[in-house]
Amino acid sequence: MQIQQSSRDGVAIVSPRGRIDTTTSGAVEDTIRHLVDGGARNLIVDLSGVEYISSAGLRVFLVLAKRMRDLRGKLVLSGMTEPVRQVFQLAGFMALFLVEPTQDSAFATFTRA
Amino acid sequence: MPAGRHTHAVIGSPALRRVTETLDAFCLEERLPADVAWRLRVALDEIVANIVAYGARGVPEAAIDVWFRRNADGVEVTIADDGPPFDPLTRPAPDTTLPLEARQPGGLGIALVKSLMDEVRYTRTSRNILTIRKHIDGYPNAGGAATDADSAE
Repeated sequence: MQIQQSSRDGVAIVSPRGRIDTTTSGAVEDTIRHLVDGGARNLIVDLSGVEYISSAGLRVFLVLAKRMRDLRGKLVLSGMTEPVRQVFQLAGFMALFLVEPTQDSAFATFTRA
Repeated sequence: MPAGRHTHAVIGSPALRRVTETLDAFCLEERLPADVAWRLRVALDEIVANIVAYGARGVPEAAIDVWFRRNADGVEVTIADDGPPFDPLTRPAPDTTLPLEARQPGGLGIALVKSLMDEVRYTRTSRNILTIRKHIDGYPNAGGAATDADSAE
């Protein structure tokens, strides 16, 4: 599991690569929590490098979505691979998140606002 | 005997890594389609993490065994553990239509396993035995070399 971080015009971008499962979800959670603790309120999680996600990873995103809502921040998920999209769909998570096909289209939702 | 792999571990945090490594080797040597491989990886993560978290309660030296087999029309994985009787299939499915504020993180794992596999079966002998199956379209029925790799503790 590799987790890249970047920033673009005030939008924090986190790009995990690999598997998000019981073994790796803690690292994803820690990285994102650190960003939000540091004041990030506009956040893109780019999932284009994620092989698959299990319920341990879903939990991370559920907790993050609730926290961002409480903080009146904005979270967009981009670039879902087919396995990630299927698991989000099976869990009924698609309705809980803003989902964009690419990092660029996710970024555009911040500049349009 | 069909080709396959088996792994054995005492229930504890290294068990999940052990099972994951064996599954990766199995996927590779059986050339499983990517769509089948990720479904198996998610299913095994859910099942084994659950056993590691709850399965060994009060049972000293409780172990987990996992057998990976391919058969005529797909793959079958059997997970056996020495924990107290627990049928994960009796757990109520979480309501996946609730709004964000009402969602709880628990309970999604076994629901995912049921959705991602074609068949999930629980039986109790002296151990908990969970068998999951995934059909593979057009999977060749020809026999391959048996690799009885084992990494017993």
